Amino acid sequence: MKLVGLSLMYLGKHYCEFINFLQKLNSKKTGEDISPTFKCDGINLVIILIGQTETMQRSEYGYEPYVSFIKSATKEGIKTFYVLARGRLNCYIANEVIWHVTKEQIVSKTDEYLDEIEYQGRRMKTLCVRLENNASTYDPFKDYFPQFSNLTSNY
Amino acid sequence: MDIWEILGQLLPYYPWIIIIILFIFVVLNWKKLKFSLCDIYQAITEFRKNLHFTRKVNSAIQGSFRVCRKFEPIMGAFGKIILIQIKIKKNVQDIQLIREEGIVTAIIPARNMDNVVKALTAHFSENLSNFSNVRDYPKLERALEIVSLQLVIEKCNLDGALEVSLKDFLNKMKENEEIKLICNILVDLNSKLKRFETRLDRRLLRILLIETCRAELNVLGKTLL
Repeated sequence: MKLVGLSLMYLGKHYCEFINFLQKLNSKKTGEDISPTFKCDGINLVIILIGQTETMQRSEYGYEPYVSFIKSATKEGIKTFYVLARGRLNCYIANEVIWHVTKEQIVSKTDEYLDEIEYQGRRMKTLCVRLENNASTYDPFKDYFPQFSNLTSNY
Repeated sequence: MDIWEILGQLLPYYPWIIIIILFIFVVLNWKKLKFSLCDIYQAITEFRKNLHFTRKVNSAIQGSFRVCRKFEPIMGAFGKIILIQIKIKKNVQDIQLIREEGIVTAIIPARNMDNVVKALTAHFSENLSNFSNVRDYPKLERALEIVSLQLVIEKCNLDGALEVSLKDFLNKMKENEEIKLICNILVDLNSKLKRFETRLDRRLLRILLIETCRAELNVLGKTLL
C-alpha cells in the first residue's frame, strides 16, 4: 500500500491471531461453541456474548452464569473482559451482570459503547462494555506510600 | 419627439442603424467599457475554472469515499459515512461546513488543494467522528481520522496534488508521537483486516482497535487515554 505521510508498522504475529479470533466470533452461528478467551503477549481478554439462550436457561436468573464465569476467569488471571449484547433484553441482562460484578469489586468498568444498528431489518440497541480485573490494577502499597512519605518528611 | 423615439421608429426599417449607434457608443466610452469587459471576461473564466475544479474534485472525493466505505475495513469504525461536496465562494473568510440532508457542503475561499484537505479534515472531525465507535478515546479517534483521510485521498487519484497537500498538512500539524504510532498501527491493522471477506462487527472492531493500541502503547510505557 502506498502511503503519503505515515510509515507502515508491522505488528506482531499474535495480532493476526487476535484478528482471527475476532473473525471467528464475528461469524459465529447460533449454538456454535467458540472459546471466548484470548491470551497472548500484551492481550489477555475474554469476550462475553450475552444472549445464548441455553446459558440463560441454565439458572433461574439470566445473569448468574455470566457472573460466575467472570469470577472464575478473574481467578485464572484474565485481565480484561468485554461484555457484548444486542437487543433490549440482552442489554438489560448485560447491565445486570456488570452491576453485580462491579458491586462485588471483582472488576471495574473502564468504558462503555452504546450504539444502534440495523439487524435483520430491525433497529437494535447494542452494547459493548470493557471491564478490567481489579487484581491486575490493584497496588497494595498505593495507599501507604503517601503516609510513609509524610512521616519521613517530618523528620 | 426626442431622439430615442425617432430611433425607435426608424429601427424596424433600418436595423443597421442600431449597429452604427452602438459602434459610436463603444468608441466614445471605450476606456470605461474596456475595464468592465475585462472584468466580465475574467469572472466568466474564473467561474469556468472553479466549476471545472469543483466538478473534478467532488467526483473524485465522493467516488473515493464510496470505494473506501466498501473496501477499507478500518472505515467501518465510522458508523455512517456522509459524503462531502466542495464549493468555492470568494467572500468567505475560512472554510465553512454546511450540513444538508445526506451531504455536507464545504465552502472554501479559493481554488486550492490545501483548502480541500482542510475541508476534508474538518469534515472528518466535525461530522464523521460523531459516528465513530472509538469517540471516547480521543487519541485513537484522531488517529482514525488521519488514517481515513489518508485512505480517502489516496483513492482520489488526483494527479498527486492532493497527496502533496496532505503531506504538507500532516507535517504542519506536528501530531504527537503517540498519535503517529497509533496511525501506524491502524494502517497495519487495516491491511490485515483486508484479508478477510467478512466485515467485523463494529463492537468487535472497537475491541480490536482499543486492545491493539493499548498493548502497543503499554510496551512503550504510554497510555491510550
